[in-house]
Amino acid sequence: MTEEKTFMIGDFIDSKGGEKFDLSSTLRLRAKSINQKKLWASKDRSAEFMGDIWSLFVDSEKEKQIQTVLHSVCVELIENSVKYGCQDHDYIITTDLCLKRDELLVYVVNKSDLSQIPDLQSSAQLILDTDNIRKLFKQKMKAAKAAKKQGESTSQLGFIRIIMQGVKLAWRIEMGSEIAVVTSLARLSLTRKDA
Amino acid sequence: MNIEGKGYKVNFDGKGKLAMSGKLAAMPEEYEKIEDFFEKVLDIMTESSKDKTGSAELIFDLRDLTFLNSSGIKTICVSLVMEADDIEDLYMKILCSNSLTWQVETLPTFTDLMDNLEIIFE
Repeated sequence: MTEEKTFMIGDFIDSKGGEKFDLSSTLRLRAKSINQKKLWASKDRSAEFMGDIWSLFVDSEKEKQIQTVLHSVCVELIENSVKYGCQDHDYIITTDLCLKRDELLVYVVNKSDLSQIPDLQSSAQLILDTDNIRKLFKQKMKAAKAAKKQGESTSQLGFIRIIMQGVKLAWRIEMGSEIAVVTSLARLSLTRKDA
Repeated sequence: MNIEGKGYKVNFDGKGKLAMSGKLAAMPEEYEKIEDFFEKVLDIMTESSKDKTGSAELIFDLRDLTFLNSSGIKTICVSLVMEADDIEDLYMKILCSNSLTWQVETLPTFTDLMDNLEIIFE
């Protein structure tokens, strides 16, 4: 028997928990069967498509802004899925977009190696706990510069960038015996004055 | 000198005007080319400030860069802005567009990374 453990980081809303969505759409890629460069290019098209289609369902004065933010959020989350996805398993990346009353919810699901979960957990918690995202941005850039001098690459800027656009983030992590299923959730409020 | 990739261009006039345009959400490896390009730009600007026995100004025009992912933002911050901050008497102006959401939300934070930096929105 293998033990499975599921935990959440942030204010996660389960898309399968009987929640009724006004609208939803799903994009599912079996990434293992796609060349990495094509997968990266398709990520841009998928993100733009999501932004274009979904901006039509919001108030016209918010259309352009929602389109831009959705595009950016989808790019960052799908890029993370490609970068950190586990190619030894199914490597399926699922992007779900749901409209729930006054919020747009973007779910991106991928499988990840268990060894990557502690880093994800600590960086996600750090971002959620900060009360000064601009200061955190500066700290991350300083760390990225120091890492570059050591010939390494690090930033975790994608999540920070999403938060800087006024979008909330949350995660659900299902730990299996060999692999973790990571669901990243971005929540875009449609009632914020500048949303 | 310039470099081009799928959907984007980076151009430097050799004197003090650097411009990026298009949409840029490349794979992380692609940004290595741009990092090298920025290094050459800063070498030229360093020489320029010495020749003029005073300060030099780099104008970085992003007004036609309609999209940039986080890897691109990191590349500009780490390999251009923060490196420029280490060069004595180098001043930088970044020209931005008010109509591009990503620029409005992200570019003002760059002033935390360089003392002699001015962000100009049009």
